[in-house]
Amino acid sequence: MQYLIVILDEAATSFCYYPSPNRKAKLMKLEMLKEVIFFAQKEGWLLNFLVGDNTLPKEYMETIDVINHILLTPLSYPQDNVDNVMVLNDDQCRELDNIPDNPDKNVILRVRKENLSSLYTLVKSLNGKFRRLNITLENIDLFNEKDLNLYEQQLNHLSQLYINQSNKETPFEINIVSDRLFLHQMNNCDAGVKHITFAPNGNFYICPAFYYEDINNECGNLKTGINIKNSQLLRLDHAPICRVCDAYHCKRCVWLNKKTTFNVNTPSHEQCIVSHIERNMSRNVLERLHQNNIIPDIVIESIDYLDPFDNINKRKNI
Amino acid sequence: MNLKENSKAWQEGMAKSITFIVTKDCQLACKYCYLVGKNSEERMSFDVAKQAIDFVLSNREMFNEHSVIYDFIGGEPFLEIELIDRICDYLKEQMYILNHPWFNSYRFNFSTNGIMYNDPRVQAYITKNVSHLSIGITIDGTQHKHDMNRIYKDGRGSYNDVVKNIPLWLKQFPDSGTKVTVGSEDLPFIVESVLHLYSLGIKDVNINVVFENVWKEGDDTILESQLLELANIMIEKKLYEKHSCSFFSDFIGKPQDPERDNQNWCGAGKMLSIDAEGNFYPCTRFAKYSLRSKPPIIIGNIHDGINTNLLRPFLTLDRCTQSTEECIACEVGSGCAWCQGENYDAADTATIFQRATAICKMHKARVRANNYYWSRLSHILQKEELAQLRKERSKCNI
Repeated sequence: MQYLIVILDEAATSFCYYPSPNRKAKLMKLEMLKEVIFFAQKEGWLLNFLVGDNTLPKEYMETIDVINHILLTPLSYPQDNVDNVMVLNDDQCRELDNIPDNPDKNVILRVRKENLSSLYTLVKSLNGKFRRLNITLENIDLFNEKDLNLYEQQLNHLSQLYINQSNKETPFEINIVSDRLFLHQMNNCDAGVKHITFAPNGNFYICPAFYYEDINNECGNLKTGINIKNSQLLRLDHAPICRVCDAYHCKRCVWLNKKTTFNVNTPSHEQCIVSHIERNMSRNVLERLHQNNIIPDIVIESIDYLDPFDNINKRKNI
Repeated sequence: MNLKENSKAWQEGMAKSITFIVTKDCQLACKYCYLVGKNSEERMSFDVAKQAIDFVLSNREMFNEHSVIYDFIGGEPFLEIELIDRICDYLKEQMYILNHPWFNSYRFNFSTNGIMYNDPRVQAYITKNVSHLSIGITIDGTQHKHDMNRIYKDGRGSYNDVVKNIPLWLKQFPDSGTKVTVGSEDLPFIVESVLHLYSLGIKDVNINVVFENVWKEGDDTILESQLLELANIMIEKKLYEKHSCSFFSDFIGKPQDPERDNQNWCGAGKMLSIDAEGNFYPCTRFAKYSLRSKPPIIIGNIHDGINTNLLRPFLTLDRCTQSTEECIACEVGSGCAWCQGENYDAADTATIFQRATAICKMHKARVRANNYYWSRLSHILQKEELAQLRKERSKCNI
């Protein structure tokens, strides 16, 4: 484990694939917060805090300031600290006018299937307000052929946007376009392997999604420590489809896997297609960058499949 | 070489297996039965079967195997022989009308407790479909061993009601084998049971120990000594020439290469099982009535079709990913079987990727006896072959 995610507020906004919880704001008890920070200090972990709409009380701020941390904050949370990551939902971009430009900001943009057609417009409206943009698609599991085509079109526009600014002194990053350009191996979410989540009820979970889905998904507490049953299945070497895949930027979300295939180590068809559309778009970007004499030290091979599952089965049948 | 090999299923591994769970009822209440949720209420209607058939036959891209085995299971399938007869008629009719490739390559397959085998309705069905039928009657060996486990709901043994049908069965299906299941209590009766089955005229005995965690300290020793005794008798009486026993196989007990020998043992996910409600399962073992502690894995139904995402884990599952380090490195791992459904049911989490290892010691005991059997037998066969060769040479010299 390298870091710990702490859900400070029951109503903390989702920063990832899982839906934002529809819960009343309720802060973790201060005493519990102190205990988990002490636990993390002993493990040598970094901390990410998920917060709700309200500014943290002074005593909470003082408590978390004893350890290296990042706050993941909703738009409604005061955005005065550049180190905080801002989480935006696709219906909030109009509210951005009130926020000054900030070319150093790290922003997470969550986009629903219904708003896929606005993806490029949404990103354009954020121009100047981020250095790194992490786009997370909600309900990938519900994507159909039409959605996937639409996503590819939008990605094409985003690629152009990325290329246009790539020769600037401090170019911005858009995860779904540019991450693959810098990866030589898998760089997945690795929930339960590199990080773990601590919830306001005092229990550990593989990630916040597992907590919000069912509080009985816990995998330990501060007294017993962490015990993830079948934890080997969270590792890449125990994921038969992913371990032969080169969509290195894919989140390989174990919660989505569990939801769609009932197994944490097996991605859905839709997840694989989305990641490969991104991968192939990065390959196009790479070619264009080469033409512009910008040469990242990477090779992305041409492939004839979008879902590695098909490739595995094809090989089996030979 | 005069050696009978273990029998193989029709189109083994090549045909699609479609299973109709026609009833969850059975006359028997076998002690080792993994079907924990048997009942007399859940009975398939013809309409559900028809919709399932329409779905399967109209989706050739998904069901693209050259051959098909239609399995009928229960409970006891022959309790629903009239329904099965109707289903089979509809299948044949539709395969013909649709000019489906399976029309030329299909089998109807049954595993029955044998009690109703001589029922006129069952016999009429057999006469009608005999060229496309495989029927296995389960008889566990001697009356003592059989009646230890295979009992009626009121506790009576079922041996006499089964054994009376064996001659008719063997007359109609002379090459049939029987399936024998061994649990902890009946381990000491393996030898007498296998020999008894041979004496009834059954040539192939497919026998296995249960996968569930029922084994007690010392059971492996009993199994080994039983199999050593059986090995001696089979060799000394030359039973190996005309009979087989699946405990002895020349491919078990070898180390396995993590890459070359990494295939999954079980066919779950490649099969399709359909229950009375029209739900689809990757294998019958994932239906609710088969599971002790886990929710069923329903991969679709006759109305919505199959959610192929739920098949992905089954179709990419391999040996090493689900095995412990100890199993992967096992020096005698080949032939150590598993049931994907039991793996799932016994796993610490709801996954099919955790291999149950309850039979570990039993497999190792089997391997020791198996090695002994083949060591002794191959020596004898080599000597016989040599003698034969010498005989032929001497003829040539004359």
